[in-house]
Amino acid sequence: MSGLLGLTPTLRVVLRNPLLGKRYPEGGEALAVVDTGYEGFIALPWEVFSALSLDELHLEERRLVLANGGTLSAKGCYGAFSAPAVGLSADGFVESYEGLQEVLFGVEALSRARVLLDYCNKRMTAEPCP
Amino acid sequence: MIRSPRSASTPAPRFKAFEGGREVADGASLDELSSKLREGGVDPRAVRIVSTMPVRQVVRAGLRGKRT
Repeated sequence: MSGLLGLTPTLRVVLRNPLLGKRYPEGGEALAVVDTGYEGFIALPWEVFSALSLDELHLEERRLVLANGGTLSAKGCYGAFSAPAVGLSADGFVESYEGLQEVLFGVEALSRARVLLDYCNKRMTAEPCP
Repeated sequence: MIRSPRSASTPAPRFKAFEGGREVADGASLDELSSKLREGGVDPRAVRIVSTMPVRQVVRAGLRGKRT
């Protein structure tokens, strides 16, 4: 399911580490914030990243540039998500950085989806590209 | 990146696993790569995985605030 939490677009997702057979959450789905200002795929709080045992894989580092010109150092590796209610799933670079407290769903994860933010009717929809 | 058989937008990547600089497996998805590593008796923790769509070294992350 996708929807608005207040004015914030969200998606219910299952996160996976296919290489080590882990998923988060173990049952049900997690709420991810759709963040169109984030050019990456998925960013996770460290607790979620390690619950998926992604921290046991070979990690790459990169820089994230913030809107105020500041930078953050992030570490990540490849992982997967699915959003069963809207038929989306993908593999991509999943990362974490210090202080992150929400599951962020970036534009790379949406790069083959149609997303409609309809604030007139207070709803958000997402579906795979035709 | 989103797996959709009819999608004509962003191409789907392939993934390759390297151990000590040598390619040991590849796959069209992480699930396929994982299966091949398991068949080959390779520990996923011991490999470096790369994608045909390389990770950009610098990306924008926006700025999130919190009401205090």
